[in-house]
Amino acid sequence: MSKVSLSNVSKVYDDTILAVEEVDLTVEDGEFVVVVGPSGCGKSTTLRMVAGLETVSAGEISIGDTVVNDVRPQDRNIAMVFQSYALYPHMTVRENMSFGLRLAGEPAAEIEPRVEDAAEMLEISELLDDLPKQLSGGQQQRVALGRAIVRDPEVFLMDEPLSNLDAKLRTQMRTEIQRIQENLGVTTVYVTHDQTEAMTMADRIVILNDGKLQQVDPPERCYDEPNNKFVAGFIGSPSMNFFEVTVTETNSGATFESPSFEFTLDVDIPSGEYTLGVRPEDLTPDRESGYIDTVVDVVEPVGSDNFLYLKTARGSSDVVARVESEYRPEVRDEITLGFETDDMHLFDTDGARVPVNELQITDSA
Amino acid sequence: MTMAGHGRTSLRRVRIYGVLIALLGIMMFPFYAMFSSTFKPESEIFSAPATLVPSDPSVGAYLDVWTQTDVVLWVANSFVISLGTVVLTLLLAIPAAYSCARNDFVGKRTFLLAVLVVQMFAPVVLIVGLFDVITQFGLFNTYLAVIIPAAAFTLPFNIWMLYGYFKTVPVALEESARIDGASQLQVLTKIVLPLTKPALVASITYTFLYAWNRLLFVLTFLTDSGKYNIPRGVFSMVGALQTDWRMMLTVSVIGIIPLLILFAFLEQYIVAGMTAGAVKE
Repeated sequence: MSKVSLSNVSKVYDDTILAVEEVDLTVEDGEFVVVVGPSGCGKSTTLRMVAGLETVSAGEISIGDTVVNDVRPQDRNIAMVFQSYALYPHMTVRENMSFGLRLAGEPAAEIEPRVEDAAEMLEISELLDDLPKQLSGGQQQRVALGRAIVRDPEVFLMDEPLSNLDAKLRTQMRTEIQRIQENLGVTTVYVTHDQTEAMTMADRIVILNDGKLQQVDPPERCYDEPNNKFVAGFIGSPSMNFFEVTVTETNSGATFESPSFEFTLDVDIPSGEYTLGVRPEDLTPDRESGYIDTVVDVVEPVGSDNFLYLKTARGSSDVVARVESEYRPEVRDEITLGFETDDMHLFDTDGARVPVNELQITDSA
Repeated sequence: MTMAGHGRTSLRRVRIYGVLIALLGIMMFPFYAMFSSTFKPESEIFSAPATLVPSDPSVGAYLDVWTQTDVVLWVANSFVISLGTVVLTLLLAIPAAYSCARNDFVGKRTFLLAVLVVQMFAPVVLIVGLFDVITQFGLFNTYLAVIIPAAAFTLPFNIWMLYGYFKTVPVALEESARIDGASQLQVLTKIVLPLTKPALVASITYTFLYAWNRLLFVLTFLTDSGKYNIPRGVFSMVGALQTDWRMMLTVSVIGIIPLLILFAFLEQYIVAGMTAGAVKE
């Protein structure tokens, strides 16, 4: 097993399109890192550079102690699982899984038990003589994993491997991949656009946007302390509510003013323009001490919770709240929303996080 | 479906089949006439009114061809020329088409269009120039004198067809193979070519057929009768004063048999290869 290091890695296409910009990242030996971001953020390009399928425009990529910028994919001792699985259609499952070993010139007597062990681990032993077209999507996915496992590589690279599966199978395979990775202890870089996958699977999440690193932290830290407004909006479902506010220092604290509300908090924040962020699950209907007056627009029950889509009474801004399933207001009901001060997030005009500690609400308007 | 609706469908089907059978009859009649004539005596071939079925069928023509002509040699030469053309064409068309399908390089479009320009010239237009080249390279009276020009004329179609088919092979498969440890050549031979079998078979068939029927190149570049192919053999039966039509037709029938066998075995691949990329799958 090996660690993977990216040092100031950039990728430029056609001398003009900057797909990845000066990414610095170290994936520790045996670590499971999930790279996440919206479409076109450069996550797959980054993975493909590690795989050797894309050249590196600037910077250095190392696997173990070796700089691999000029090392061919076949010489990097990596295994990759593709979004489309990329199983060879004209080969049986057994042939697919043993392809890499056969190319490496491993003796047949050694290949067979390795293929069978991997097939057993993935519960696909009975499929070994089938062709990929005879398999379901989930089975194809397992074969793709098996093909990666059987080679016993230093690094697993996975490019959105679950995105072609239905929701139930995706959840099941998520756990399976985690289990396999834990058992084998192979350094893994996993790319996805699905933040649920990132949150549930990763030791650390790498969040990319427009080719730039936004945050590299454990999932809970990305959720609780997002580095910037992008991360705050990207992690969490439904997304965090944002309000543009003007903060004015007063004798009794700071007044938060927006077209939708105005309230004062006992905090010491310099006057200026900010973005206030509150997650839907942190908003609670609280007529006594809430401070955002809203009107219910849509109620969306999802079983365990209800999603409330609301408009602010003033300014008609959109707000989403996630409330307990027992609480089920009618459309056009007026609701005042409140939140714990610990749960609010502040970002400056550049979108960078402004730490908020020990805030106390002293007044509401 | 109602009875009336069912009746209309049946009637429509009968009409379609009627038209198809009529067209098939028109197309197949010359072949039937050729085939049946080989079992007729010379006098009956030109008798009026013409007979559809030989009045006194005989395989005498086949025996005469066997004993009086070099038909076996002609068939063997046709195979040598056709297989040689197939090998040379594929050796050039596969790398050309594959590199165009997988790489973007300056002049790619120009190259592909320039290749097509070759198709615009009838061989007869270029035959004098080709004769010059063939003699200068010392290829006159060698199989290569026919194989090289035939390959040159089949290359454009083959490059374009394989180019279209190679583009349908997902790049991820090749990338996966590279990560599995395959070299560029192994990616081509172990992944891409097995997946493009229909196009390869179509390509082989088209080229084989083209080379099998070449008369002009053989007529111009091969004077050694020991290297005659079937069309040239048939042509040699045209005499200044007399032409043995019965023997000519018999050799022609023998010359068609290998092609029929080839088509019968490869028909499903040929259709798949020719229509590849025509519709979104």
